[in-house]
Amino acid sequence: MKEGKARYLKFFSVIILAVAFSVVFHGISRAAANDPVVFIKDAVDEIIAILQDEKLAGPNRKAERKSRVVAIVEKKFDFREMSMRALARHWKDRSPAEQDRFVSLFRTLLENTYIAKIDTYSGEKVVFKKGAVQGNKAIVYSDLIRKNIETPVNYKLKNSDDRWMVYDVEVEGVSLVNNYRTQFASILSKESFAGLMAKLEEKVSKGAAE
Amino acid sequence: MKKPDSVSLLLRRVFFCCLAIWLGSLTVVFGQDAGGDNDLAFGEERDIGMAADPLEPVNRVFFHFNDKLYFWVVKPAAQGYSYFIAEDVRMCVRSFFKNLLAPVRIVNNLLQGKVADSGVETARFVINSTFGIAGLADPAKNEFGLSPKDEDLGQTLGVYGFGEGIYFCWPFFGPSNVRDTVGIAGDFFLSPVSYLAMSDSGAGVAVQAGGEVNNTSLTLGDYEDFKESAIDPYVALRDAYRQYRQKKIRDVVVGRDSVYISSLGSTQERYALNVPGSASSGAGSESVPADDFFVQVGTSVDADQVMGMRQTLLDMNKKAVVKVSDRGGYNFFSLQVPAGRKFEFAKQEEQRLCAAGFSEARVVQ
Repeated sequence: MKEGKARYLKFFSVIILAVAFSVVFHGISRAAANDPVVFIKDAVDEIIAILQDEKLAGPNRKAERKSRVVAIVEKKFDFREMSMRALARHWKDRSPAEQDRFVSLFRTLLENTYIAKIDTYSGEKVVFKKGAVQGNKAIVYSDLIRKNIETPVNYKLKNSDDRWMVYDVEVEGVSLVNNYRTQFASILSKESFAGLMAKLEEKVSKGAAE
Repeated sequence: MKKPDSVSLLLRRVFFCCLAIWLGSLTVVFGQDAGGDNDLAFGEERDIGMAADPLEPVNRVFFHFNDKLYFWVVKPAAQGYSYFIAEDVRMCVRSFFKNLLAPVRIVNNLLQGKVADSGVETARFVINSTFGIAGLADPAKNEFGLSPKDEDLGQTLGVYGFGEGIYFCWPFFGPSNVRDTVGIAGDFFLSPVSYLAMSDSGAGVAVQAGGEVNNTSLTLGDYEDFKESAIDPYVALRDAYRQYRQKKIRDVVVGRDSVYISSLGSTQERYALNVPGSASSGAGSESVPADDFFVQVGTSVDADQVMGMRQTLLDMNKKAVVKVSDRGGYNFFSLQVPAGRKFEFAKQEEQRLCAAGFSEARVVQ
């Protein structure tokens, strides 16, 4: 009963790790690069290696550690697709300039709040369960094991130009994109798009200050 | 003197339960039901619509109350507690409380017709209460491979077709809705802590609060992260709660893999297999036992090789293969492993397959 509360709250902090972990592929063989499970797994291994690297753990190299993870994530996450999906029907009403600004703010928001949190990594393990491909979409099912508790983390990927990009992450069944879409829709039902942008900008600048 | 009191108390409780259920069915009208079930795992994210939240102003007040409660009371208490109590111990306490609620899961699995899962929960309860020393450890999962089958009355009502009704944010208890509130009220009677609370309300509340502080001490930082990531934390929490509960009711992700399976069922099947013990599969979703493992075959394998592999699997395990599906260049064998067996066991199958010449075989859960 009460236990439920903690579980979906976990979504928000686990997603940090999920976002941080779903990453890049280079140096993987051709066949493997076409298998979303393999390349997400490789990415996770790579990120965990960065997090476990004691040379990068020092306080003066925090920024470097973050930028390395961010670089990996940016190659792997399609923030434009995520923005499109999160804005849903409001997306097409915006001018290209507004769209670009939105994508950039949304990406910064996700980076600030999630990727910056990789400092809290404490030996979590990721177990990959299976992947499934249909057309140009794929899902990778994994479990994040934290303090003996498994949290299902699903990556949704889309293939364009023969490479996979993550467009959504589901933690405990809660979709990141859906969650933001609901928030954006709720704000846009009361305010103008400019109002939403102002809120985003405020949030982002506050995050950067921290 | 005492007897009439307890009878009237019981009657009052029954009355309130009925009232709650009636209210629930009434407010379902206001609640928006989830859309059709035709979404695939691959499709667009399911849009669950806006929440029916006519009480939003009140709910927001309680949301702020809970927010302050967390930062001013629960968090400091959990921090102090975790300073004195080792993490291992706190994890044991969490398992203990989880084990106490086994009756809720056993009964609700039964109510949903999940007889096997109910048995799993019963076995877990017996094993963990004895070998696991009153539930402090979880040998049922670690040694016997029995994972919990989390069900509650809110989910049961959802399975029965009750809509969520309007959204509530209760003080102390946090997000809920009409259906889940009714569910919690019902599950209350299956929780040992409730019976403690009935005989000694102070002790009941203390135990409940203690459990809460203990669990919070293991998830410190989650709520902070959540607040930081959200643009409107109230809406974000409401949406996360709704998504989480809807997926749980549909047993997606959190429980068995019905998304996966139903998407398998809806893909075109290239090979009709008549394997003993297999469900003859047509389109549509079918329930597959939780302990299924899949043998995934790489894209470079052609149909003949796949059929050869199927035969090898059949020779090794009399009832192994259920079906083969083709999906976007991937062929999946569904390999059934007896309930309770672990992933490692299925991995042995993979090694045997590799040894038999199918070097690309990979068992995925």
